[in-house]
Amino acid sequence: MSSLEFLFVFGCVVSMWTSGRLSVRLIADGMVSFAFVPAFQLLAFAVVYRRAPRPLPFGRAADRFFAGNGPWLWWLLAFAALRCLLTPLQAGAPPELLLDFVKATVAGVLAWSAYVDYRFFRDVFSSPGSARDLILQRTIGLAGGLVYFFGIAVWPVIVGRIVP
Amino acid sequence: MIPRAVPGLLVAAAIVAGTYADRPRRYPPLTLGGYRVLAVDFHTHSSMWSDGALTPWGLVLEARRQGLDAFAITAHNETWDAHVGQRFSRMVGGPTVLVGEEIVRPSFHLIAAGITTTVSFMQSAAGAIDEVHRQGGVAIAAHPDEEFWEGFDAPAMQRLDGSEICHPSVLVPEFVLKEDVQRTYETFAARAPLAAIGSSDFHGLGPMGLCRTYVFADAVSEQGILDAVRAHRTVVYGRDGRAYGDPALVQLAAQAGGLRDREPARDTAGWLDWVSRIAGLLGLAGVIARSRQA
Repeated sequence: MSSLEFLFVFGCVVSMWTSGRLSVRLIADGMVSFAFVPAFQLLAFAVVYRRAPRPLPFGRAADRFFAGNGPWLWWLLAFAALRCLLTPLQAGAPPELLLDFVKATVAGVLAWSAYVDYRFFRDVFSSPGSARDLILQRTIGLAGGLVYFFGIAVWPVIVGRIVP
Repeated sequence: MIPRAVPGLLVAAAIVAGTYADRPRRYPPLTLGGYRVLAVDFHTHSSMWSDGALTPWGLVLEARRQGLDAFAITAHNETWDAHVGQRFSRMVGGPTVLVGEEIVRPSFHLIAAGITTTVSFMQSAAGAIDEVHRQGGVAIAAHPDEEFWEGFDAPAMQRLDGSEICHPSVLVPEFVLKEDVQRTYETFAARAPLAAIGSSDFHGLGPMGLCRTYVFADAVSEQGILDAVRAHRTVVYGRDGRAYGDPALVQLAAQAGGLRDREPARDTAGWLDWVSRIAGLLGLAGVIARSRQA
């Protein structure tokens, strides 16, 4: 349930940024487009779960883990609210304001969500290596998501710089 | 205390209002000077490995919503999602989808539209344009900022079919980007006789087709659009509504009027949009707060 809620908020953000309103068509499309985010999170969680003492069945553990996405949900909501301040033209222009917002806030959200997840691994898994679990989960989840989203756009630039 | 159902109801109301405002609009076909005038966006990205926010089929529905007759799906150095979008659009009777690609190298960004297979980026701009032409497509300089001018050398400029003169970045006030982008694109376009192209470089932020190309086509088909671009039969509106393109067609469009009626609003939102926004944000805040308490 928690992962679906997370995905639904993603869909709402896409709908808001594309059209300035919430519509079934764009929410559904945004949910499909960004399904990779919870998918990579879940994959990363499964890797950590396999190594942990496993006090809960996987489904329940994953649901409780996703319930810790509060910082990201609030951040996504702020992201959607930002669109309300812009005209369609400003929203479609190069995303200077958006990048400024991300730069100004993302470190705080990363730290807040890391703290929430660290507590999850410490309290629910009672894992002696909670910090290690957190780092492993973040590395797989974030790296996977970023490579999936930006990979094909970025690699020709990297290759092009290496091979003249 | 706010009743438990209120946040959910607010979100539902937001979606109902937003979905009603989102219904497709119908536009009558436009014919000027014996040509069918088609609104085309030559530069869009999907979420399937092209850092966009909508799926290829979502782009088709959005293009229809925005009154586009045709558009190109132009992923970075691949064409897979464009084939998916084209197939979907044919199934649902949507706008014409041109299989495209944004050929990306550090020294240039080149739009290929109307191709069949992926064009390698491991070559010069002139080589890539030759390959685009071999496949029957047209080659357009994408957002030709000064950093890309070096990649468009003399052989490339001789081969190019068009250049983006309207891109969302030209519509941004100068103080934001600290340069006059419209002037930069005009200067680039003056280097060769090129079709004027307007594209939204759509990644999901803001409306698709915000910048668009009015193509004066002999036929409502992919071939008709490509032939019109090769013949430079295009009109584009840039910053402050300034028109670019074939002077005779610009004049014809000005006399006829109404060409831009189907473009998305640039400065305003409707009241249903505001209902959807406010109810949606309040409702989502309530849903998130409730689920964190649970």
